[in-house]
Amino acid sequence: MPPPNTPEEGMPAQGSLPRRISGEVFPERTRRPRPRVPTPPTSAPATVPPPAPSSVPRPPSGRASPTSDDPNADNILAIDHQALEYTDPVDETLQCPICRTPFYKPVTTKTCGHTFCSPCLHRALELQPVCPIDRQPIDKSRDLGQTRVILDQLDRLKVKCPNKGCDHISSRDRLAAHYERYCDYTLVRCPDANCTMAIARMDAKPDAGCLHKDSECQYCNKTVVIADLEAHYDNDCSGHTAKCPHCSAIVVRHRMEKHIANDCPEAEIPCKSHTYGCPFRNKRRLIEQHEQNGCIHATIGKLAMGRLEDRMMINDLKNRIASLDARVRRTEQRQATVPSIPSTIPGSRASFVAGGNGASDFIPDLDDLRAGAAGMAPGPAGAGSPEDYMLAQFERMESQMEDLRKMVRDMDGHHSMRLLNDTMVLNDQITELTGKVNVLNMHTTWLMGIQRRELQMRAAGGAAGGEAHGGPRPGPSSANPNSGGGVSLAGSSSADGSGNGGGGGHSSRERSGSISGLSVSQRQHQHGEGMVPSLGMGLGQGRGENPPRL
Amino acid sequence: MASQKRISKELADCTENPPQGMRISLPNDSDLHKWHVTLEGPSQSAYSGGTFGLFVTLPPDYPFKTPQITFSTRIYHPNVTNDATGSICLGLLKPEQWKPATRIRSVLEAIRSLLVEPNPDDPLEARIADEYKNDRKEFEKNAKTYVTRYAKGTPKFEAVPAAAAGGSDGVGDSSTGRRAN
Repeated sequence: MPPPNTPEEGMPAQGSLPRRISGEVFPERTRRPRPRVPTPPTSAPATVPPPAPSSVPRPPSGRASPTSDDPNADNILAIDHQALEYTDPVDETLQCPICRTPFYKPVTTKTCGHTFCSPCLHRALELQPVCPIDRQPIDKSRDLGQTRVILDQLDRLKVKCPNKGCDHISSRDRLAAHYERYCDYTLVRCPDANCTMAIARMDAKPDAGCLHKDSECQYCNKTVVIADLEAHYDNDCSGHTAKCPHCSAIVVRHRMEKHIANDCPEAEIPCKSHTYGCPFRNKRRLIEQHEQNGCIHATIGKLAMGRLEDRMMINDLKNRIASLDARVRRTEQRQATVPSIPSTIPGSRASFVAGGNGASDFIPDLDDLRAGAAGMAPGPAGAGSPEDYMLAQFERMESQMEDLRKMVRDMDGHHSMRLLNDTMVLNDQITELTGKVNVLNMHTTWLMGIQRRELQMRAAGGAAGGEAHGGPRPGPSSANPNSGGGVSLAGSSSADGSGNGGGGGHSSRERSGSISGLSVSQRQHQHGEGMVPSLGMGLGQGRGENPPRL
Repeated sequence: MASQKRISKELADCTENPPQGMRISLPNDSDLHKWHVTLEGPSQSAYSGGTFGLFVTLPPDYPFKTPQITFSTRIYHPNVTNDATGSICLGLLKPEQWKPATRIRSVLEAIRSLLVEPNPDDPLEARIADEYKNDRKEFEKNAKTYVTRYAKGTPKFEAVPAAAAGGSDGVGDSSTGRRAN
């Protein structure tokens, strides 16, 4: 779509390699005066080094010397990386903000961390030594570096081979190898050492000579390079089409022979069966009729073909028989050596399996088996193999069985171990929980006791003193006259076995905390020693402060 | 090659997903370096209802050199020359401020916002800038008159900017000249 010869061709020429694959000329070669004729077919007319000063012979840049006689070495034009086509859309972050293509030789600025293609950045720096994104000053020699991650990501991108006609796809890092070494479409230097032109590798045969010599078009008398003749005939030649002499269709001239030989309906051709002797010759469209109407030679041809096929099949079968024969002979030979082996193995097995039975008892059985097997399967397997096979099978199964047995045993052990482990923990937990439940039970009974006593107390106090306590929280003074009763109650609750009287005296939240903190064994320990004093204290406190409520 | 690829990418981006109120077309399909942009006057500005044509000329060594953008439709604006040249004074477009990483899209967007908010402190037309600063009503009236006179219907791109070929240097010249007046 872009115009083939735009002035901005000047860009790649600055100091870098000629980065164009469609370019046809190797500029560093001594140039031969050539008539100005459009060179390769599709691309630009020899537009090589643009009118920029860079068209002056460049310093040797590692490219081929003009005298190099190896046609493949470094005679190849470099790949234009910016024109590469990628199979998948490339992420925006991997594209150079200047050329908007995936980075080629990426460089990252050390001052501001922006990444560009090396050629793009250097071009921009030539105009202004600042970052093309944020205009931070950049010193070419100090402030540029490479980022490994970016390079790796770029290497993994899939690209199409830049050569027209080649549909090879590879990762970007391997493209150069394909392009430079293997691709048949890569333009290489013309095998003629004096020629500066390029030619597709498949056409550049050392003995083909220079294909860039001029030749005259046989129709229009124009001078055309040999390599381009084909394209010239197809496209440019003023007389490139002609009327077919038979069917008067317009055909590209140099394809006329092909047309007449394969397509033209009016051209005279022989009947397809002429190899079987049919003398009929006529125009192509009539030939078809002739064949449909039943060319006798066609029938003969069919028969002949059938016979040919038969013969081929026979040959094929013969070959197969021969190979089978050879195989049978081979197995027979092997069989002759085999019988000694089974007789040793069954012997050992017989003593192993049957214990008392001798080897001599076992071998006849095996012989029977062998005879039976041979009778059943007279195939090429040989007579020694059935028992071998069965023995092997038996042995294998036995070992498998043994394996399985072991596995089951292992599993069993494993399983019971696990069960034991699990239940042990559970048992522990259960005992702990029962302990806790017991404690809670005791608490409730104790608290109920207190409640009951308090109610009794209130009833008694109301009756005796006529002092009324309306509120739900009786004051401490109200309990004082009945302190004796409280002590006796404490005694009774201790007889209940409540070990947590101390906790019971405090506020309910505190109490629950202390309970959950105790383990069964601790509690038992407490039962023995600290029970009475703590209970007494707890009761005292309980009387002094608010009585606990459920 | 590099610039071809970039320009075609930018063009594809701008045609598929055009900047607000704009339409991009190529006068000549084989020349990617000349664009015609049709810009609707932003509704919140004095130019609403108008349709303006913009020439975009990309130099051969774009993106390293500044693109040239001019109005093909006359417009009454402090930062655009009040003649057939239609040069624009925009910081982004000054050669010394141009950054190769800037895209045409963002330049076009900057021009559109220049219509919404003229920059009278860096004018090309000092008189219009004064008017904009001191007599906004008069400015808007004049701008609307220009819109009805020049910016109705589809914009014409006939006046191929021969003067614009003089480049952005010309912009600087005309601005100083006008300020002297």
